[in-house]
Amino acid sequence: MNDHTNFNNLVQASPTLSTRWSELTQKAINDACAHGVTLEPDDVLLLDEVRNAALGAPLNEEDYIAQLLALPKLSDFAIRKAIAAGDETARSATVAELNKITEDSSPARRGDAGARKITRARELGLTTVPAPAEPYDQQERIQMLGEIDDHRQRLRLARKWNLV
Amino acid sequence: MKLTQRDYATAAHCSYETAGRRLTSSDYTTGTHGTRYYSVAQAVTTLRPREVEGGAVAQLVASATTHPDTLWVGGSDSLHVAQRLLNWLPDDMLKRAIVAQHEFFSGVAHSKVCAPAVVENLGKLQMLYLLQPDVLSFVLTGTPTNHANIAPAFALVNNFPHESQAA
Repeated sequence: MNDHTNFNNLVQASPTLSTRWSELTQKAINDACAHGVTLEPDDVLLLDEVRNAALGAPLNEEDYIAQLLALPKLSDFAIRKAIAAGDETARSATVAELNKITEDSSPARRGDAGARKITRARELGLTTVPAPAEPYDQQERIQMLGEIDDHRQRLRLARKWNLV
Repeated sequence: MKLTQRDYATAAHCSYETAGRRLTSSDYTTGTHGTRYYSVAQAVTTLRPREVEGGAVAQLVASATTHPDTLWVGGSDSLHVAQRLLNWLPDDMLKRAIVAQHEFFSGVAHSKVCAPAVVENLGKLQMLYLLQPDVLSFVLTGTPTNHANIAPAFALVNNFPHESQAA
């Protein structure tokens, strides 16, 4: 089902088909671009409507747009936008979706699943990546240096902290 | 910077016994074979004006040895040494001392260590700065030294602990 070898062979065999296919691919990429997503030519292969049109069927604009928006990349984008806009339904639906990830993973792979879950959550804008913590600011460091009795240790630390 | 009683006698053109008498109130560290090493900053203050005019200060500095660790000058115990040195300095040396202290101030101000924890002690650190061997030889003999390089590290190494309000 997901193997488009036959379709690719067909397109490559005929100059008419390949011209039409490249035009349609360009159109799909441009349309996706209008939604703020960059598509690869291989992503366009997933759109049934575009493949049909390349083979000669008239392009049904409505179905085409629906399929385009259903692509994983674009649906992610849509979800992210809804969550950012404060849509609670979209948010809870996404959380429920994410909760499925760890359901039946073996203990050995629970860590992987957890990592996948948090990565996905960040991709969808549910959580943001925490800012890297700055443990101490310069003033606190200099103050701490003053409390170290061994002055050689002070200089070592100061060099390590890039103060001198 | 440290020197022995013998070094002092040679530089000041006085007898060994006189040197010993003048150095009795100075702090010393004991080296190999029990040799006592006196700090130059304290020794110069015992020179007589006639000896200073004869170039004894430069000779003292020339004969002194410097410990490899040149940044740490001894904390708040050394403050009175620096103060006495500053009070003793003849005019030309005093001018250089003031230049050195200004250079120290601006060296710290233009570095990354310019933070409240250092600035609150800057007055004391400025005083101690005169005891740093390179700075001391600049003040006493005019040997140029790069204050901008020394100042930040000196300030950090000799900085005093922050005194918290709730004691």
